[in-house]
Amino acid sequence: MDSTVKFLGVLEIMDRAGHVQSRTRVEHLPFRIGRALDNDLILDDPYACAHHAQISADEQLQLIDCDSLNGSFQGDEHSRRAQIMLGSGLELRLGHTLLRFRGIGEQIAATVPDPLARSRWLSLDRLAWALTAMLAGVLAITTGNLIGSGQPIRMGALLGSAVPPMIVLALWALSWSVVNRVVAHRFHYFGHLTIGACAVVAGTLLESFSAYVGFALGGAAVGGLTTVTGALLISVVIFGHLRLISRGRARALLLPSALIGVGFLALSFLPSAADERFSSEPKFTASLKPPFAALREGRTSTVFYEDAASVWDAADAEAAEKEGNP
Amino acid sequence: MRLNLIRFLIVFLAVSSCAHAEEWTTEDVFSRHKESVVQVRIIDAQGGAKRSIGSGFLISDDGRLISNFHVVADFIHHPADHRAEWYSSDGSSGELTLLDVDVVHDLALLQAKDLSGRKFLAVESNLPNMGERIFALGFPYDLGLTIVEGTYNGLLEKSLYERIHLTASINPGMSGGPAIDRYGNVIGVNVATAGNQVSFLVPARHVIKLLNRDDATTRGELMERIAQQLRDNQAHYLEALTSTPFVTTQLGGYRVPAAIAKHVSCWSQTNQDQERLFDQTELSCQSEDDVFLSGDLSTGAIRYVHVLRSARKIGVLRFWAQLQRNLRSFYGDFGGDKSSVTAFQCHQDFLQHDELKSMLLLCVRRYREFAGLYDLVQRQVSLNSANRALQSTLILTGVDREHGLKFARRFAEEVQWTAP
Repeated sequence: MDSTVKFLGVLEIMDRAGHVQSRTRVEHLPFRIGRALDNDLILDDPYACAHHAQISADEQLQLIDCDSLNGSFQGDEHSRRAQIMLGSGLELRLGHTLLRFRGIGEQIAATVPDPLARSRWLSLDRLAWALTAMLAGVLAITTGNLIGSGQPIRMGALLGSAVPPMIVLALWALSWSVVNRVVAHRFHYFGHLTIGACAVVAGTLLESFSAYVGFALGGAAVGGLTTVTGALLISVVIFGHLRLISRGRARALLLPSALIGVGFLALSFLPSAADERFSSEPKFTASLKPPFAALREGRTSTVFYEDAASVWDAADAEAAEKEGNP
Repeated sequence: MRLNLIRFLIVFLAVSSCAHAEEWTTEDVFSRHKESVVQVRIIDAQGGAKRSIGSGFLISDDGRLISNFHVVADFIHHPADHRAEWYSSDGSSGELTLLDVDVVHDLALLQAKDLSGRKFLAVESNLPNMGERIFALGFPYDLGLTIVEGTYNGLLEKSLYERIHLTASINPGMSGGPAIDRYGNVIGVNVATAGNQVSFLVPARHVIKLLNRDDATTRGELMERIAQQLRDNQAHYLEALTSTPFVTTQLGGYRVPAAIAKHVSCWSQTNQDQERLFDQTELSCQSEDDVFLSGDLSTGAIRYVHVLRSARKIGVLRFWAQLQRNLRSFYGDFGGDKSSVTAFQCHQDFLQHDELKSMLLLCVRRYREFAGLYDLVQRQVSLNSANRALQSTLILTGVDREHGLKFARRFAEEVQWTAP
């Protein structure tokens, strides 16, 4: 009887779905299997005998049934066997317990690279980044409020105005983190916070930038361009959040992110209630920035009033539309 | 036409016969004219009760009445929803139909049913002497026929539309009633009050003009007449304004249009708040009166405001953010609704005129009921200095395309940068 320790294979206990419940190394022979506590593999199965079977070797490893009450079976077979030759991947049934033998020479699959491990987004999950991004967000909001304020500056009030958006941001990041925890058993709060804060900064900058562009071109509408860029920004932010959560490949996340961006775009082009309401006052929505931002040359008054003929025509057209369709 | 001639003769004869007769006392005026002055009621067709009230007076023996346009405006705009009735202090009443209007001078000519054969009033086109005693008749606050006594104070000097200044208490409900001179003749029609015994009359010569026209036969013709009156009126006063050099004044480093006509008056104001972030001087000018069209729509007025702002305790970016806020928060008190006007359509661009670069915005809306008439708002912000800006706003109501454009352009070009 060879009782030296030597790795001969692995016995896996499996559930009905084929998932491995436990693995036990077969390191000496005979290797005894049964319900009794002195076995090498103890089965928690009332249909298994105290000493149900054992693995021994003749020329090849084999399972020998020890005259068990309910027998030992190979794979799905219905006839009990006194002995079963063990090969790699062979499935066995002892009582109600399913076992699988894995031979020593069995090839295992190549390691799958972790898509997230290489993700640059994960590097955002640091306290330092989160704090920096939050600080930039506070700066963007207070600067916006400072420039827009018509009152003498009170720093306390200005900083206070940035608090509600930051609370919303913190809750936003928390929601994503909780989803992350539930779905992927990971918690990247700082990562989500950094992405959210960067979005606030980018959104604020985008708004100012488009206002300046609009003004520089003489008040030509850049609303459409701003909306498209805004939708793009939303897509990128959603992609970032998903990237922190998902184990899938980055390419698979592009579609849902893009769809959310497109959804936002569609919503912004829907006519709003305010557009439908009739106003007896003109709406001045022009951007007005300091003169240095007025890049285009001014028109001569002849050209301006020729171009302005369009508004008279538009008013005529609107009046005609109503008359034609009372 | 023959009928008009007869009517004119009646008026003329009445004037001639009454001229330089004996002077009437207040009792005389009341007792002799009480049956010629009636209350004009606009009745809501659904509710069956009064919607608005005014006064009117008989001008011929076939039951023609003079009242104010604004008294019967609801009836004109929405004839299906209203009907017009006269009511006499003796308790009789009857129906009224519309014959003609003079919208610019706020007059309406009506035909009263069952009111022929009564005494009617004679019209005196000559103006009384300054300080002469005048009696006004009407139904103030629905209280019954009332007579008030006052003094003639001449024609308003600063009015675009001819008005007599009467020192008397004309109250709501008396609109459309006659103002009688001491010989018992109508010298004007009650039209408005500024309170505290400051009241206004439409001179009687406009009544005579109205009587001498053919009646409008359909509502469509009437509306076209109103539109034509408004078009003629704006063409007349805008041409007068643009044919002469603009009176301008210095505001900061800019020259801006000031009181460009006698009927335009200007007011100025400077922000004195110690805590202010920028200095602000405002020069606002407007014509003294406008033309009433409906309860929430007036026209034929000209308004403009120049606001000069200089940064004081504020950086360039904040200064322009405030200017943008001021540009966007605009309220012109335009009135009108979807059925009477279109929405405003706007155009904006940079304008370079002489030394001044500015941002210019022009918005226009059209009247639906009156073809060829528009309201116009033009705003201009100077862009020649980072910490000083002039914002000029021009509002024209009830103008046609040609004259509106011409005046707006002239106005924008008159804003000049003078100081380096």
